Amino acid sequence: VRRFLGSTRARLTLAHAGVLAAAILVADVAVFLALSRAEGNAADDALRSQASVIAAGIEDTNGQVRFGGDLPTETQQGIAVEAAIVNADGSIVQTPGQALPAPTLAQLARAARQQGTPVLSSLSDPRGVPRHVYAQALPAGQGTGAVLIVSRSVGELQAALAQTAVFLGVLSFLVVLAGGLLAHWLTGRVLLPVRRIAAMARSLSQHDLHRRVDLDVPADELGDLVQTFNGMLARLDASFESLRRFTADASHELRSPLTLMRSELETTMARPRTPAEYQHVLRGLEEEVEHMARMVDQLLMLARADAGALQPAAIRVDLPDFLHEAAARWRPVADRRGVRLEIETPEIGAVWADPDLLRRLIDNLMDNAIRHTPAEAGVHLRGYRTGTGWTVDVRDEGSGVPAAARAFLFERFVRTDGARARESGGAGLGLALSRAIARAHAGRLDLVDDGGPGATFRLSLPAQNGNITATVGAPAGTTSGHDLSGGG
Amino acid sequence: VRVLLIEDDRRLAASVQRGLGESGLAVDVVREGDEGLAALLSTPYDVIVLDVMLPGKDGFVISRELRQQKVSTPVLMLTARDAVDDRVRGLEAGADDYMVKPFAMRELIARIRALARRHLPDRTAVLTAGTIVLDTAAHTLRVDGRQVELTAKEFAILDFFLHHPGRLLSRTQIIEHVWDYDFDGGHNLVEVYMGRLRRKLTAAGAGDPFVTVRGSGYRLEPKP
Repeated sequence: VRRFLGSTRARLTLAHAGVLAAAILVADVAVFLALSRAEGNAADDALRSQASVIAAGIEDTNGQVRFGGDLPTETQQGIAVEAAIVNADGSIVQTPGQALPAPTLAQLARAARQQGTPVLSSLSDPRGVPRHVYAQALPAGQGTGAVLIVSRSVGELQAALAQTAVFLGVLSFLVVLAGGLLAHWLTGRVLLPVRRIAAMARSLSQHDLHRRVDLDVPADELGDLVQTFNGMLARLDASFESLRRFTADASHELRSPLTLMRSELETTMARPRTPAEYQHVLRGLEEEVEHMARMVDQLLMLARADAGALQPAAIRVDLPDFLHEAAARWRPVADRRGVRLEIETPEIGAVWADPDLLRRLIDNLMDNAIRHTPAEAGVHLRGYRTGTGWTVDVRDEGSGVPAAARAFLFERFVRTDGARARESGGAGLGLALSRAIARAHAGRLDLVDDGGPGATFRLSLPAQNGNITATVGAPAGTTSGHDLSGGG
Repeated sequence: VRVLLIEDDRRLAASVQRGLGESGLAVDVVREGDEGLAALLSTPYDVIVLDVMLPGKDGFVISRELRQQKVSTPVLMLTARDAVDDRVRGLEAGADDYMVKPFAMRELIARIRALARRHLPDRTAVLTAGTIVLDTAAHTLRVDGRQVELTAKEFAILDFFLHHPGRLLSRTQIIEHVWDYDFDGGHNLVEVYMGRLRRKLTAAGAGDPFVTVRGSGYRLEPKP
């Protein structure tokens, strides 16, 4: 039963049948009561009119009451009514074959006399037939204390009522049954799309997420459900697809350097080498390790960002310090490449941010900018106040980003310049990670078109970061200068 | 400089020991916290390098215990987890610096040196020189009573000079004090910051309190 009740269809059917049954029961009872009352009233009216007919034919002879002729045994409508007259002295004039015995008649007469008004009662005669009895004291002119008693059997009437009740009951039961079946069928029909969606969802594996629920349902709640479900499938499909692509890219990017390192190691160790050769190989390996470490680091951080777990600390970061330090870190690199590094900062200004994350972001942008700028040209780092907060522009004087690459520049493992990026150490994760960091700070990172030939990346940060989670250590600028946030 | 390395990974410990040793640092290695505490009681160390992921007591617990036992030796934590929570926990547990694995040996050495060199600053709350009044507790600079806004690093540099009035401070000293350790490009940074400080102080009416000693560094000589 519990399992049966576990189904929505069964519960709906039962509820429907229950409500129907209750309504019909109320109606049945009302109908039956009204009917039996009307029938009873009609029977009593017949008794009353017969009584008045008989009373009209009663004569008084010296205080003795008598009826002209025999007392009638039925009404003009042919209903069998027995009549009796009980005189004050107790003598009884009655229709022949009177069903009620003399003592009962006497008792009824006494009651009517005491009452003064006609008495209507029901009782069973000695044969057990139910009867309605009407007892009426006759007026003074017609004997003194004489009572007219008329009675009729209501057995047939009650039998008819009982039959009606049975009929009503059977009919009601059939209606409830039919209603229940109808409800069962209807709910089944209504729930069919739901069952099909469920069946489909059960059958789906990650390999056929491209399938959609194809049901012809009107655009009602169910249509909405189907659409919602299909929308969810589409998103799931897309995210599985990107995960698959990402895994493929990541394994390629991680395996390549490992393969290279292994082959380098095996080749080198195959026979003795000169110290210079060893050094050369080790230096190469160091580069590979650094490249891999950077990539693993970026991948882990991206994974955290995807999981929504990249929650930046909120530490006061002085923008001039931050930008000058970034410039100082990159100046040697720029100098080596003959690239001019120009910086412009506000006199004062701070954001609440995670200094480590922000540093990764700016280092990514600086690295890109310097790499894409030819010698003698410049890279410009500029921080300035904007209406909503602070903006940092990193502008290079390189060849810019090809129009075709702009659309997916911030995706993972993207390289706008093919194999060249690998040579310079990029794995195509930097910009994706940078944007994830900017977003984690409630900010944004975009490639903006400022008309120049090179590329300009614009980082916008709100002045007051909404999600201040923790403040580490002393406020910025500890006297020891040893806050983890800042330094080199 | 004597370093205690608390690290349970034998290979990493040996590698770090060799790397630090070749740079002239004396390194002792222990594999867990209680051993480390015992070593600290018998030998004075300049810096403790502490791995977070250790069998038994982890690095946070050890660091906290050290501080409870009034061991003030600077602690540098090593961890493979760089989540913000971990960083905050490490600092709350009394660590002085924090490095995420994999780290570059050069940077580890530089940071250990910086920690070893580090001395607790004078706790004087208010430092003055001429019209310059630096409140280190409230983190404010006033010149002739007017507040001047400084960035954290500008403040740290001025603070450093006010602690050593009249003394010649080299660029390297300034870098190591303010940015923890020397790095490429640091000298240029010092020049940038001296320029900013001079500009702000002059604009505030304190004149230029710094004297540049060519090739050596700077000296604070406030105008009366």
